[in-house]
Amino acid sequence: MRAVVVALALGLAGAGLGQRALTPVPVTEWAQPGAERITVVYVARIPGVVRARDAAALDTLETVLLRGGTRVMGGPEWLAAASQAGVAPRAVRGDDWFAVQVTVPEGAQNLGIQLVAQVVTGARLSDFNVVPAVDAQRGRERDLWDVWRTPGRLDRAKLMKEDVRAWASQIFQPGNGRLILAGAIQSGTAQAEADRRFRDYQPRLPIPRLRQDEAMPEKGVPGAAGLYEWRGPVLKPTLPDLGPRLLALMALGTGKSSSLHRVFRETNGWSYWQTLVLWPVADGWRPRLSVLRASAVDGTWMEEGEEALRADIATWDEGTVMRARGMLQMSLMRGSVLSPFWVKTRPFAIDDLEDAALFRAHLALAGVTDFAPGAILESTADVTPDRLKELATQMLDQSSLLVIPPRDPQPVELPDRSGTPGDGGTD
Amino acid sequence: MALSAPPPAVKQQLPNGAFVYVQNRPTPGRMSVVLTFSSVGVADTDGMEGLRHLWEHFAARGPRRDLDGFLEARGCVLTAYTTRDATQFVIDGPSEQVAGAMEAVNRILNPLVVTDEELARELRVIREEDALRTWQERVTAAAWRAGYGEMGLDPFGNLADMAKVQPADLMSLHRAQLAGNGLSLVVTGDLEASITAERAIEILRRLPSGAERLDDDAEEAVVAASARVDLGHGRGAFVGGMGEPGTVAALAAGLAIAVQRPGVEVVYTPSVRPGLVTLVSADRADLDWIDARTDAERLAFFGVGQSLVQQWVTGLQQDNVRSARLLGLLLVQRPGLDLEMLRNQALTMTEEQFLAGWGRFVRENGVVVEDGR
Repeated sequence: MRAVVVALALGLAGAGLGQRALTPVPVTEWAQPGAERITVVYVARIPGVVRARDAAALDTLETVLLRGGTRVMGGPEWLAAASQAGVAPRAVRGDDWFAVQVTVPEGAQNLGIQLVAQVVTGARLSDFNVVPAVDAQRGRERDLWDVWRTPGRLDRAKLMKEDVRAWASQIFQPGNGRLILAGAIQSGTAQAEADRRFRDYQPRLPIPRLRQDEAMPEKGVPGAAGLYEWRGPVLKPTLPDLGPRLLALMALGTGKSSSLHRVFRETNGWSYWQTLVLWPVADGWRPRLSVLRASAVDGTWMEEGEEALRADIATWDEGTVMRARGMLQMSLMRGSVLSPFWVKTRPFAIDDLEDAALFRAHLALAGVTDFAPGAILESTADVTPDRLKELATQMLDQSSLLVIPPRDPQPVELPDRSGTPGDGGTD
Repeated sequence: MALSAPPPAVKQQLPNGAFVYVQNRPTPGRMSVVLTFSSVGVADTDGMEGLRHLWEHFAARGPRRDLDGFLEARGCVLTAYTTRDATQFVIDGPSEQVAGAMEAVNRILNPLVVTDEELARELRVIREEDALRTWQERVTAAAWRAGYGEMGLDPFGNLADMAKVQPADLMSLHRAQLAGNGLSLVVTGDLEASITAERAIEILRRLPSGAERLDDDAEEAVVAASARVDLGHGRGAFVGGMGEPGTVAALAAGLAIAVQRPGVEVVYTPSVRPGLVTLVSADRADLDWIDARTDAERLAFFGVGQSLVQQWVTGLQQDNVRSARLLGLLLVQRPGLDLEMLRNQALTMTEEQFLAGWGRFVRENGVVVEDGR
């Protein structure tokens, strides 16, 4: 163990002295027969713990990174080159990962790698672009979905342009990220081109973050609806029983016949939106059983909700297993608006080249480069209702509760429907 | 994937006016079913804004409220959408389950009974749904209302109006919808077109024709206007609808703007009727930037806009669900219009058209929505 620690320490010291990393950017290729374009994703971990102001800085970086051009090309020139396949380039940030994605026409693989490498090794973050973006962030009010995406409080008032540059310097370091190429790729050639394009990729002296704020709980969600959530432990895609665990989660929260939907919407009318989201984090997925609810002022109802959920789990049978398997197949192999695999504010569209590549890029970051959805499905073949119940209950037992109440709770009653017999009243 | 001759398809208008369209597409193992009810003749009115949306909530669950369970046990999912033009029920799933999906369609087309208790519960759910609307949705709804007045009513609805709805209103709307005129059923995917078409025809032909659906808003007034919302900003460009070259040019310009200003989102619900392409952003500077570009700066992104709008059309054609939804809508609106026309318009778009498309978003030409805080 000691030897390993020493080796790691030397590696870091070497990077600090400006030595070139041996494999600056490893490449994973994923050929898609029939594709007419190529998409290139660079994905990296966000080092360290993301605090309140940091999240605002990362939001800003996501907005400005691709706008200002690179050391080689001006902003409009780079954007035009990176849009020629008819797909806009994008920067995407997760809780603890960051991605840059460019799509190019078939035959332009090297150009795609070149455009991504330009951003990673030398995005221009000039005052001209960064300062207005920081000002805009400072004055911005978050809505419910912003809070859902990043539940901690973002103290935008303290945001400075240096925060944005500091994060760029820490994320885009040799050895921190990897490339994924998907679509009409020319197999076997991407690593050499990446080595060429990143050959001058020198470790940059990280710009220190000036101040790291403590994570603070959000005081409340703007508007009438609050956020209530059961957050499970991170599910690593390398787990030997990944398939059965995913199956249990599908039974719990995916689809309109899931326990979550039946209990919270159909039976009790507590909420319109309640779902399982497998939130991508660098090590895998964090299961989030999210409920957005207007007809509550705090989280005291969650105890009753969890009790009802557990009672529903107790009723699961063979039909539940079959339905969960259908939902798992749909989510892993076809994609759907009901899929629990999300990026930002929507599910990945698995049948879309760009989303599928980003999904794979996230998996590669989490340590899986040979993702096989068929094998995951097969591994669920022998799961019994009892095993499913056990895994779902375990997830609930291990989950933590997140409650961010609404800032402007509304009266629960609807406008008067006088004369309507049998009005069911309110909850 | 080259887009050449269309794959085998069955397209038929039944004697009762309903359209059936079944197409085999290269989507291995997957199929999509879209049942479209035109809003013509049953459109929401001021004072009853949101009736169709509320009906959609009930119809989507089926007369026995068991449709989701029935479909999900087969690996299918059902989603439903209510827009200004239509209400659509979309079933997506494995192609071997197409018979189950058709049975689900059959169930939606059965009589519907709604009780007071169910209605009260659903109104609570609608109120929850309203609280979750994004600022982008609210900006877009405000732009429509400002730009089109009463013709731009929000398909989501008005909570106060919806609270007045009685079960009889919903059951009456359901009966009006169960008619061939204004109805289409599109099934696409990895399936045998003629067998599936037979079943689709069998399901639809039992319906009466219903009243002829006459478009009652051909004279939609366009009012350049402004509006204020609690959060976010927007610009709405007036467009004539799909099939009109100016619509494609406005989309190209809007998409090109969004590339340069990543905070901007382009919102457009395809329709052959006059409408809006809306750009929304949390940052007003993004939208002021549109006004400040010179013609030369705008034209620097002509090629990009053209590529983006071509890819948008290609995406519509290649995505099984999106293409089926659009086909379903076109069948009840303008059956002669096809996506190739849009592709050609994108290919032959001129610089002048692109500039004109950009100009529609400029402050003095379009609808302006601003953060009123």
